Amino acid sequence: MLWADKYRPKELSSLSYHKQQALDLRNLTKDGDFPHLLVYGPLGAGKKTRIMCLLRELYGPGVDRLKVETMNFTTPSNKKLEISTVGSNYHIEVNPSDVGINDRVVIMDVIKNVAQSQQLNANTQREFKVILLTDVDNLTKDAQHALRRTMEKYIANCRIILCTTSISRVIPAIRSRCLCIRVPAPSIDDITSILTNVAAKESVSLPPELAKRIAEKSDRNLRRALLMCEACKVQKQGLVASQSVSEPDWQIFIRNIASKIVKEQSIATLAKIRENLYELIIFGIPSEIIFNTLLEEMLKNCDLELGRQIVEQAALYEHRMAQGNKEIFHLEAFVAKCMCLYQNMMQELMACEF
Amino acid sequence: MKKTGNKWLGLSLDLENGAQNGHPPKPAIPSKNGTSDLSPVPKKRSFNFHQRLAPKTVPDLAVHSKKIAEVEHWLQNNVCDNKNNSPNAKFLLISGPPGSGKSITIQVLCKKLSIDITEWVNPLDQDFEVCRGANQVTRFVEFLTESKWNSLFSTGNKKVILVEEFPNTFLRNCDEFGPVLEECYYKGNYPVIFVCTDTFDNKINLSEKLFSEDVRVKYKIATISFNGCAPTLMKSALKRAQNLVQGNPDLFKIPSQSTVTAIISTAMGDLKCALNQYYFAALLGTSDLPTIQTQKSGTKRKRDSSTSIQIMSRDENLGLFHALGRVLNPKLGENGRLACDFDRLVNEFTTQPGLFTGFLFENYLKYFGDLVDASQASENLSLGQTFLEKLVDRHDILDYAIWVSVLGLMVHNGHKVSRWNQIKGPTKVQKVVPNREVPVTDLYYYNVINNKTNSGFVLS
Repeated sequence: MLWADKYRPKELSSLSYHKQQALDLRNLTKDGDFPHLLVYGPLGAGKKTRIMCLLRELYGPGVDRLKVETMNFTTPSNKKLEISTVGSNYHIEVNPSDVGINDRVVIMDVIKNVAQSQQLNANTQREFKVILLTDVDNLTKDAQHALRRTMEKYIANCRIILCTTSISRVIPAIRSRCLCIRVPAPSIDDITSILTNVAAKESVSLPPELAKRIAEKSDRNLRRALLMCEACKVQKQGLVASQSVSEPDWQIFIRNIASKIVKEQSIATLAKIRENLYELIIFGIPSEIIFNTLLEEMLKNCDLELGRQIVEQAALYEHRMAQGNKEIFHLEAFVAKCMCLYQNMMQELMACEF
Repeated sequence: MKKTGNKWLGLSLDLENGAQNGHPPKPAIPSKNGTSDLSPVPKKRSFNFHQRLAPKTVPDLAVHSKKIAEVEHWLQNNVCDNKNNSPNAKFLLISGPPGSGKSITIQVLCKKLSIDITEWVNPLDQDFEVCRGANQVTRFVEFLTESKWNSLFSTGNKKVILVEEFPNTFLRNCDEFGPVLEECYYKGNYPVIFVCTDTFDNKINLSEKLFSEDVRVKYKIATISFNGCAPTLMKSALKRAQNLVQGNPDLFKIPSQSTVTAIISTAMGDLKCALNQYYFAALLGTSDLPTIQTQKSGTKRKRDSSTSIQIMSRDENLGLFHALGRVLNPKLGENGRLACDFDRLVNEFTTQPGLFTGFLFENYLKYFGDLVDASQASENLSLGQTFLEKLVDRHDILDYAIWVSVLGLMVHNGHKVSRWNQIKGPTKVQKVVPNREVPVTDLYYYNVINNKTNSGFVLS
């Protein structure tokens, strides 16, 4: 079992950071009821952990008995869909964007199914079930509108918890129907102390310098920090203060793309980069992360003026990308623009020299 | 008004026996093309070419075998085994360009599966409507929901309702169609097949207007869309016609091979049109017909140079690849402006803007010779894409998407590369379904911990 799962807090009271928020969540469920929730925050900040703690607070230890189920759906055009769900007797967790553009069918069917079955004994249990939808920002607009309608219709029998990294792609109509809860990323000190605690529980000695370095490298992503730490342990059979922390492979891949942009500005490179971007997308790296990493890597190669221009362009294309789901169009436009800007700068430099 | 079984063929006096008495000949061509007036032909005997030629069995159909299988599958699931399912009526929508064999496919398949067809035909007695009050729509609903018109000759209890003509009122206000479908959906006993002919004019495109996306989803309407008849299939269909012609040398002569190829290329996937032309070309001449024929085939050979004086061929419509070529390889006119009929080009593809821009995006890079041009073009494509993503069903906005992409590509292509390039279809991005435990971004560490070297992501 991974450390990240093994030492995941199970109670709201045992959470190790954002203690005030934990208290608020506890107060929220005191009456045994809560509104629809929209939990958002960066990767590895502990959104899921908090949601599960909340459910446990509400339903007791029964929510830990998870079962994985595969649900089947048929689209109106007779296409068969399959999606795997995780759930207990009290809740069900679905990631509707697994089925791509057919997510609307999944949302409508899942909610209807859950809402139609009443709890047997409403006195000992709650009278509603909880549907947990993850990666809501990847839902199509169509699905979000469907969600909006069903949310209102079935509020008597179910509560919906939405989990997302950014609410900018969630339509306002949904935002206004939910209580939005932001889970900020833990600070580097938080991560360091958690790493030290976990290492102590695993009875592995973790040098403080290494803990600090991992925390800094992890992008304030707690899960990644824990995984990094465990990976370091596996690589060296123990933890040494001087050991290097490796970066994920896709990050290196994106760095290569950035260096290709700088090295040669031509149509052929652009075509090659398109292939690379497709690879990344197919592998499943979220497009925002591709974009951000690419921008960071580009800026490392630029002086201040060029950097300003590139950031300006990045803002434009990132905004466009957030509106739709054909990321590749905007990514490629950004890459092409970067190439042009870089080429311009080089030409100006040449002109100055002569 | 309502009829059962196969479609009646006008006033079809198949006088093969009585023809020897020197009956005045009946032009057996449907007068659709307005051509039957042109042939005051003294014929020896009448001969129902089209009826004799109509396919009777599945192998004779000039339709792609997968499409046939699709329709057959639906019929079998929804008509033959009707036990296991919901009480609601089943709908199937078949759409496709004219002359692609939609109706005949259904007829042949139903015959094969011994399913009775009951077809709706628009009532002609308008007076009745005015006097008695029951309007077309009510009668249409009645027809769909009740089942009192059983054929006297019916063989079993399997039956489908076929709607090829829609009451005219739906053309004017398509909102009225929704309630009709709803009533039929809950009350109807028999599966209903709608047959819609695609047109390139959005105003009368029934399959889009009456069966919008919402409607299809709501009433679970299965959709099968036919494509135009492929040249090879058309060739085999004409071969069958040729056999028929050969069997009747007293009536027909065999048209030359060049005429046949000309017919195939002019018909543009419209089998009905091709057969009509073939029939004319094959008729043993009177004074009138051969002149039409020569003129026709003459213009057809020159089809590429001029399309103006074709008598019997269809309007040319722009194929997808043709249009892509025009956009990717822009031609400049004399005054330095782009020589292209944008309006028409864009209008052709307003129904599927996503597909068209997808094609453009996939292929444009190969036609650009300069990075700055390409960057501006990609900027325009990206802008066009934002139009498509908005949740709107207003057509204008979707049009803008095409306009922006098309013009962006054409205007900015200042240093175009003119060489042959293979056109690629849009890349389908099939995301790998992620591991539940670990998100993809952290998968690398997960693999390190579990000593898995193969991460599924290749570093190239």
